Amino acid sequence: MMILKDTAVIRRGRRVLQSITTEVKVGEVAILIGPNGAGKSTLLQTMGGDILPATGTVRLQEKSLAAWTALDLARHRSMMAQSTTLGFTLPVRDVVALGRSPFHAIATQTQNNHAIEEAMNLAAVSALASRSYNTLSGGEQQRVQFARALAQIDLGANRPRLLLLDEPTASLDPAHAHHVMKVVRNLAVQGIAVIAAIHDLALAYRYATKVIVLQRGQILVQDTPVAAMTPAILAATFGIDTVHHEGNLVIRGLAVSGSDDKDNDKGLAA
Amino acid sequence: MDARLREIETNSALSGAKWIALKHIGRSNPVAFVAMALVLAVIASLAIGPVSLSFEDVLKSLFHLGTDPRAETVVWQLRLPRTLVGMIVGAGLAVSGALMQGLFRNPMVDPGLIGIAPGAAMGAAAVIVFGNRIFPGLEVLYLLPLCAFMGGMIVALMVYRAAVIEGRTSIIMLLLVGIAMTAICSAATGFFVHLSNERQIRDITFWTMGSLGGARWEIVYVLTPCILIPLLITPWLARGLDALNLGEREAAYLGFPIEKLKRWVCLLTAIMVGGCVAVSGVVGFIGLLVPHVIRLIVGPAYRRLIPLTALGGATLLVFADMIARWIVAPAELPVGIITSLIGGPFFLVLLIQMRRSLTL
Repeated sequence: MMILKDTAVIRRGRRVLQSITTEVKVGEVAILIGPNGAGKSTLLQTMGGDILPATGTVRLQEKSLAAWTALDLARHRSMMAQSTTLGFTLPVRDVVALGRSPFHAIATQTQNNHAIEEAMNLAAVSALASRSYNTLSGGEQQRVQFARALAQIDLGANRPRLLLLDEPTASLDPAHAHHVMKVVRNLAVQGIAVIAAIHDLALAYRYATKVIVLQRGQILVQDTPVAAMTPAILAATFGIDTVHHEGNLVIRGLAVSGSDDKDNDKGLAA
Repeated sequence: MDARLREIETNSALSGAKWIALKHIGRSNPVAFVAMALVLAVIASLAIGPVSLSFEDVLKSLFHLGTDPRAETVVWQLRLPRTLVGMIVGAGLAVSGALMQGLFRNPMVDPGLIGIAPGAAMGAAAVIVFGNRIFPGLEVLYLLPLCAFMGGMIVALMVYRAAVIEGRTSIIMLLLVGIAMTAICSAATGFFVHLSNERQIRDITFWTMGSLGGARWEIVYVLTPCILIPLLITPWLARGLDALNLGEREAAYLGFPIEKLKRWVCLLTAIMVGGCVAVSGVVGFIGLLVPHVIRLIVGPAYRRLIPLTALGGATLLVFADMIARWIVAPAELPVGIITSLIGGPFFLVLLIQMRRSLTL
């Protein structure tokens, strides 16, 4: 679905991503983890077509992103940003309905309404439908944006699609965070490739089919959660002490000797 | 729609009666309501003036059924072109305001923000002060709108060029460069005023406060396409502007050609505001107030906002101009004073009472 080959991104003269090579297939939930400033959001924006790579290629379904028209791309990939504020407040349902704008020429009103209701249901925001967006809490707003992204992904369609999520659970309470990740996992089974940046390592460990560890704009390791999120790698990248326990990742605290990660990570990556 | 009204209702401390009225407008047909208000304002504008005409006189004259040639002359030669210019300018300014507010995602934005109005004012002041010296004999009446329009367009173009960074239009640069250019233009205008004689100062002052006094049929002919063509293009921008409410990046992810959209909004606004300012001077508050009020009634969706804003702007300016002609008759006030006088307090009350539900 999405293939990056030797992709590098330069912003304001600084190389923020270098030689990223990865592939995410339909059915996969690829989760990007990495410390602040590692390049997770930049990578997602590059995959979404917002940032053009300086070198290398970004392909969606064998076709370079640059070759897609904006509208066609919007019908095949949906992106949820870290946080979205409105210039003018709208009822929640109208915000979700904006996710249907790429389809206004090809979908009927009934189809659109159905997609909107289903998206609001999945994101657990149906009860908020008539509330004003700007009066919602941060977590509620985030779920509304999740619903908007789902409305755009055209649930139930047959064609392969890509869902990009930039920290979709950052402001959510634990129950909603797990709920969102479960939904995401189910979507993947229905023919969607999901790529999400997530800070909560326990969530990433539990719901990812593939974990991509980013550090200073490079992929340190990409593998299954069990193989990519070993205590050694996490200690090196995040400086924290973790254990795997009955299929979950438990964070015990700061790693004792993990502070000097600059020297360690290269060795661990190998 | 209903949800929005409910929200406005619960969040505002406005007196019940007013909100029942607004609610009624919202639930029935707001377009019909504003259109009716416009028709009333137009009839009143044609009837009221130094020569007072009855409703019957106005209708008879309009359709050439009258036997009173004096009434017909007053209506056709004086009041009708003036009322039409009022409608067109009001609609143009109000819609420009709505477009700019959408572009900046901010309800506090005025269409003059990207330097069009100050540029036009500078052009106008230059003509008033130097026009006769540079082009002796040429009628200032035609030169003034032309130079005002050119001044507005040149400044808007400079602001726009400065705000394009690596092929992308930076909205914040647009705002900041607009402020800088406004300061420069105001300084230049001030300098021209300094060089002018007393009569010229009066002309400049009158012009910068806005007036429809220069309206005649030639102006109607030139101004109409200037406003009408952009107005007819705006519905194609509606969806994009709605998506822009989420932010530029989000709108782009939804498949909208954001750069094109921003360019079109700037271009259409520059033409409309340039045209309006050229014929009527700087009429304040319409571009800020009208879209804001309409948005409170029907919500921010542009497909509904644009036609209603156009009608609302036309109504407000025709009405304000009528007051400007009537209140100190036989003399007249600059209409900008009336629009600001109506608009300022109304806006203030609205802001104070809606404080809790607004997130500015």
